Amino acid sequence: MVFNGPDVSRKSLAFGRQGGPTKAHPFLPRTLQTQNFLRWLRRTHAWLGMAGAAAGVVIGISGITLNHRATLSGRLPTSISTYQVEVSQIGFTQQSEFERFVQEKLDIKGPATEPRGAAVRPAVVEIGDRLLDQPRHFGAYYASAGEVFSINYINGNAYIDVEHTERGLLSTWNRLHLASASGFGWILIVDAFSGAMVVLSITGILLWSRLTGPRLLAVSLASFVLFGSFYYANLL
Amino acid sequence: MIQKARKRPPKAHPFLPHALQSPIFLTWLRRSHGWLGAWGAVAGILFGLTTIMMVHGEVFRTAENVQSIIQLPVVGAGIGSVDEMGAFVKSELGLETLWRRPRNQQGPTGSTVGMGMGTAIAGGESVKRPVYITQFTSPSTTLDVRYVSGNEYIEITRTERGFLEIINRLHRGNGAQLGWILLGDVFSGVLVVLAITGVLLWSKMDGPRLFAIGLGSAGFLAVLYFGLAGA
Repeated sequence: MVFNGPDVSRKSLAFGRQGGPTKAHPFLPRTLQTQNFLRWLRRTHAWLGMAGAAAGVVIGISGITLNHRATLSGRLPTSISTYQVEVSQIGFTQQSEFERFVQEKLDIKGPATEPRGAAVRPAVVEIGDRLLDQPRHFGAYYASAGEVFSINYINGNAYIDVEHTERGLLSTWNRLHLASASGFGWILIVDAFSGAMVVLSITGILLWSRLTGPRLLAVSLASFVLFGSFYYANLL
Repeated sequence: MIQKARKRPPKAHPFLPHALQSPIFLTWLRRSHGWLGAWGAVAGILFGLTTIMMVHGEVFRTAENVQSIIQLPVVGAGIGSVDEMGAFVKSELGLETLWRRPRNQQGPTGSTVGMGMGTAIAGGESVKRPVYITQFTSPSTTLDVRYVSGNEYIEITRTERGFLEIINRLHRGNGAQLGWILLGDVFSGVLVVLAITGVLLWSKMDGPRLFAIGLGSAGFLAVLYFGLAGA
């Protein structure tokens, strides 16, 4: 049996010259490589990751469909149905009165929001040589990530016009991804998720350990996206 | 000493099925999570920060775009279609990307507008020449190209964007080339895999299991609520 002790000691001497033993976590500064800090990093990463896991799945999948908007998400199923609701009284006098009526009839909760890019409705129009007073318009727009009620009524008409849009699951996830019409609470969650993603990226790099593989490969993989974004950002 | 009647020993990884709890599978999980994570870390920071910027667009106002308009002489090159114009501009300006359809236009690579009858104007009869419209675009720069058939010059409107707007556009994939679209797809897929492997890798070292279930399902329920909540 060959005794290979001297080799081992030379090896450790060589490392000694570079200052300290090799690091288990090659991207973690040596001063931070304490048990306490590592445990703290691990816990931060684990807890934030757990909280964001479900959102990660939804945002990841919708990321792909949104990335191919022209061919994918534009064709996701949405069903639009139009129907009318009879008005028993003669018109409304206040927006709040109209909204209350509509919410009760259609069993809708939550506040009405402004639709984007609504057309201008002039109070008076000129038709031929006469001026025509326009009747008052009431509109209410209720939107969540999954469905939209667009409700319009012209004072004097017999019916309220309702347009109900229902989105499929993937299409709903797209709306969540875009944080459009998904409510204040969701915007908080998206903010928290984005912040968590930044923290997860950083703690993840710090936590990277030699158990996973060679450090050089990790560096090159990580810089892949960095250079990719620089390259594609300025390609013109 | 009273022992709890347990069929199996407590698991170090409470969300990993017993059948999968072998050292090989754990190593494999750890490596997938580690490698995919290293690959996506930069993207994670980029997409995370731009999300906050875009959601709160009124707080993080991006710098105004800078536009300049240049006239490119045609010098006898016969341009009779959008694609001929695109190829001409690409070679004249030495561009790397292909021309494509601007968002508000129809047609595969751009559009031709204005063909048809002219109308009577005060000075006589007006004409309707074909107008070719296309675009070269990237997250940082967009060239809007417009040429009235028969004219001496092609008009190119160059839009330059600030850094913050560039990274927002990267996030949204505006002006993205195939390579970046692929990167975006892979990152999205990676995010899903990281979420799943992360849950499986969760260990008792990180804290109590019940708390983890609570936190995980709070996230899940939030997604469910905001996704399905009636208007």
